Amino acid sequence: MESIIQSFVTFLGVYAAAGIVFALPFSFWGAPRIDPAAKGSPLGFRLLLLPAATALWPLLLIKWIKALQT
Amino acid sequence: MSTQYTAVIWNREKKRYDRYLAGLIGLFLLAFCGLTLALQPEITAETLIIRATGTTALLLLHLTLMIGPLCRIDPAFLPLLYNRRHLGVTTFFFGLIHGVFNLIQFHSLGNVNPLVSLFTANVHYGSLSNFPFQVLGFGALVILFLMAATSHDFWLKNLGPKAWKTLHMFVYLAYGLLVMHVLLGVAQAEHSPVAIGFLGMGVVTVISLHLAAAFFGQRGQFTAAAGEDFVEVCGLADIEDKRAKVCLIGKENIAIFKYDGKLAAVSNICKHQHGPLGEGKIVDGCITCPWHGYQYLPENGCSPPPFTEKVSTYELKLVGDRIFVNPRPHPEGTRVEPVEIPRKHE
Ligand code: HEM
Ligand code: FES
Repeated sequence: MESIIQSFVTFLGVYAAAGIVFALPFSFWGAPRIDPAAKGSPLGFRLLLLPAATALWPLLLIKWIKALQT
Repeated sequence: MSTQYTAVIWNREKKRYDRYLAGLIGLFLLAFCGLTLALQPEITAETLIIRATGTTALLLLHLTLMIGPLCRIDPAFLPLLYNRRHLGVTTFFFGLIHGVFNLIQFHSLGNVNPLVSLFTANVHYGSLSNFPFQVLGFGALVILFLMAATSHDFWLKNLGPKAWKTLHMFVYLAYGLLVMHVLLGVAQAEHSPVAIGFLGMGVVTVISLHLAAAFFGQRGQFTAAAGEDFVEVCGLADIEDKRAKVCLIGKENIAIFKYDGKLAAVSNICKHQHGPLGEGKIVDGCITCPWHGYQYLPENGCSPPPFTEKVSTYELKLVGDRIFVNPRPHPEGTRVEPVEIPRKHE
């Protein structure tokens, strides 16, 4: 039990760390890519995207790659 | 609307809303801390913060859950819905303070990671009376976080309304988890039964409002058989000036507006978050959504430039003083000449 939980918490940490690394570039370059309405939007708006970008990064990474391909 | 995003759209209404919200929270905190200090003068500051923030978060969650059904029962409550997302984000922050203080208080003293400790300090997952209730609180906090984090319009648009709505339906799961969190937590701490009494009242209120909305929520709407060309809806006098009558014909949800001696019909469903346009008013010549203020021109369902939202429009007919609508929608943004109301009826 203990070791399962330990690995789960470690996984959460790694996931969140990857999310944080992902979130900044996403909010500055990715968001305007997947949604043109986000081009040139103010800093406050971009910072507001960080929490969800950290939490949902695998999903957004896929969306970003798809947007780059079109 | 959709030209550009800003961090938070604040206008006079929303500022007033937020002031009321802050005032309400302030009063509640004062009363809660005052009462607790009077009854338990020996309480530590940490425990007081933990209890006050947890209770505030749960109170706000109750308000959040009550607003939806209240509006379906009586549109007079719609102003409460207007800025509900600020309520949701505030709920999360209070829950977060409560959770973090608990992690510090109970789980950060040993050399185990506090999160690991949260899950392992109590492993009586099979027991009801000793159940690790803190894990339930953690689960709810994760849901509240996801909802608060995705509450901006950007996420509504880019995750898609379906996924977004589904995510936000998890608020009911969070609510269930929290009810158990508090029930088990208070039971294990052997607090006074007063807390359980209040919680019971809250749960009964939330459930009965949802039931009431399911039974009476359709009031004022009108259903007719689909497939007819024009369907009689109501009389001219049934619509107030600058307001609408809503009717549900087959699958079509239509709002018929009366304004400036004219009648026009558009879809009742706002492009933003499916707000009920028919419960809004005509402001500056535009249909104005009661939820977040998106606007549409009545004669063609288009948002005034530079905005680009469009809703469907419908044909109307006036026979004597009876209003008829053709429930077959025109493509979104199609201009339909409004029906002039003859002078004698005005
Ligand atoms: C990581 C997440 C959480 C942890 C570790 C946690 C932990 C606790 C603990 C240890 C107690 C008992 C405190 C006492 O003995 O007085 C408690 C009570 C309570 N919690 Fe939480 N909780 C969490 C999340 C939440 C959230 C998100 C809410 C509400 C939105 C909430 C609402 C409450 C309420 C209303 C009480 C009862 C009042 C009280 O006695 O403090 N909790 N929680
Ligand atoms: S639903 Fe948000 S403005 Fe209509």
